[in-house]
Amino acid sequence: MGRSRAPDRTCTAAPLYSRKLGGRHLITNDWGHYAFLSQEELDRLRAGRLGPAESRFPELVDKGFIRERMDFKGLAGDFRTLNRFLWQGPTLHIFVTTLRCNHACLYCQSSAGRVVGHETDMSLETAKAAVDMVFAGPNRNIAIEFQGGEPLLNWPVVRFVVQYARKRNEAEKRSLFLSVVTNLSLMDEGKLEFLLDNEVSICTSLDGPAPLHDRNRVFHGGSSQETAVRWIKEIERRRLSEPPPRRRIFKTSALMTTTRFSLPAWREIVDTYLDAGFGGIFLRPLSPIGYAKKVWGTIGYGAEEYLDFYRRALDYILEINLRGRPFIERMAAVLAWKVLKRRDPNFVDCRSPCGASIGQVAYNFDGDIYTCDEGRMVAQQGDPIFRIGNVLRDSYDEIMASPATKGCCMASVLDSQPACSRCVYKPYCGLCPVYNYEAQGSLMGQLPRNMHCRVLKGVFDILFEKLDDRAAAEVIEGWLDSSRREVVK
Amino acid sequence: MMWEIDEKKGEVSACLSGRVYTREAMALAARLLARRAEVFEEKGASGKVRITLRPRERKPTREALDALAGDFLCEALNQQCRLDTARHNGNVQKLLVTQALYAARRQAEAAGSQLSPERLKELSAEARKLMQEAAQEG
Repeated sequence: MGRSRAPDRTCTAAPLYSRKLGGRHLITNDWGHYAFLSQEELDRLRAGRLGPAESRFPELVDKGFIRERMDFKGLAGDFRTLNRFLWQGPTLHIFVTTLRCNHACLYCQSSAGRVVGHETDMSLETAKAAVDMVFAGPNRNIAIEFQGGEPLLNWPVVRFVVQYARKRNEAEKRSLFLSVVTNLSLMDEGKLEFLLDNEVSICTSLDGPAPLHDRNRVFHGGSSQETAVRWIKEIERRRLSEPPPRRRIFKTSALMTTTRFSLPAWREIVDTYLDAGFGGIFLRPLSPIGYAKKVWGTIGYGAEEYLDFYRRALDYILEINLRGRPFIERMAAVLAWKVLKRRDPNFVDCRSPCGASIGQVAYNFDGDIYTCDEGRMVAQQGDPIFRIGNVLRDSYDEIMASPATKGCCMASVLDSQPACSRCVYKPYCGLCPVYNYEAQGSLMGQLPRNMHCRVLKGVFDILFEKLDDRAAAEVIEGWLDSSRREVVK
Repeated sequence: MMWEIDEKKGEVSACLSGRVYTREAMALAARLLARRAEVFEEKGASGKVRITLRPRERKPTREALDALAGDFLCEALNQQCRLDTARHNGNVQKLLVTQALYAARRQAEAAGSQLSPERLKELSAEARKLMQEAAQEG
């Protein structure tokens, strides 16, 4: 790295975090660097006896682990790159265009199965005010994501927001990314052509093979899974057959929600994604937030059960890659992006402070604004604690100064958490105040007994274990060479 | 420390050392358990504080009282550790939060000023037109 070196005098350890993994010790620091050391190397580093003549010494100097040789300018640059979000403001803006849905998913809080009545539809006036609020923010990169309910049930508002946001951005000249999260059951030729013409990315839900998906995502109009897969393949056919540059068609992405029923089906779930032509999968754990909290006893699981599922699925995915087919596990890829590239992958769920308000904002159908979609889900169950304002009444500055914004920001700084402040994964990790509030009754939570913490710590353990294995590490490094949008949601 | 369980009264109490748990930590723990129990605090001997927990459920079992006492101590310890950590790292926390919130708000002023009022008015008129089209379609 070519960093300046002070003359040899002493070589004591700079502040570092450590954790024993397998037979070795993982060490990290606030600049985002890591190294594996043997017990003997760690002991000598801590005692100030790991000197310049040793083979590991230059690496440890370059990574900021030797106190007397720290290049503060370079290391501060590393910190800034890894935590770029601290200088940016919100990127992700979630529009809940309606709470109506034609599915009755086991884990969802929306008005399951109800498609009639428009009292939970976003109005055009509210939608315009929400778009204006989006552009009042400072971030040059904006992502607007339509969610619900099923957003296609309020198609006029989706269409208007796409057109108005594009029109407004002609003047604003920001990087504008639009996406719709849909179960695809209401997709038709007209809607698809409009979305493709306006370069709206399409994201759907795919929980696995039809029996599992249809059990999780109850749909009375036939097999939800078969409908989704049919459209996924149709969109992919058009993407591959259309010559650019008439329009840029994004590869369809999908979200997988892990319920108790998914745990034994790790291989079938990955195979379903492979068969549907996806380049990767996001093995997303379910959180007991909003409606899912009420049915946790039926569909939930413990951290250890999820981690066993995750490890088996990741091993299988790595095996597929080693056999020659590139296929990404997105959670590992996002975390590896932080660890290996020391760059912010724009993943709002894993930051310190978390992305609530300062990274993402959720606009409900009635114009109420929430710190995040999870905060909106809590309100849906009758507790508006994460509400930060309303698009028709409040200014952008007011929502950023709201008590919920400040509270989530303060509560989610890992340095202020006893269990996190000395954790080896602190440089890359984040906690969720909404999860803490729902599961443990306070924004700060109680991390040693927190499932979100146990899951993330377990996933980091598995990831670093793989990074310490040359063959697996090469596969994961290869994932980061893919385009950034492929890696990050 | 020994908790005294009184099944007849349906409550559990103990004397906690004021040197280990600050009143703030105990108050925060009590607040978090408020939905489950009433929490009473009395001055005890030699700087200790007597905490009594009375569950809101009727006729709690000995096991339930024991579990409640454990949860109170666990939370009091969590809060105390959090307060101690904040004393050491509070400045780092404030710096990060201030940076994140300041960036989001300060830069908003600059971003907002990039479009002239005339251009915003034109965009608003175009939005009205799009809204009419959408309403007709809907």
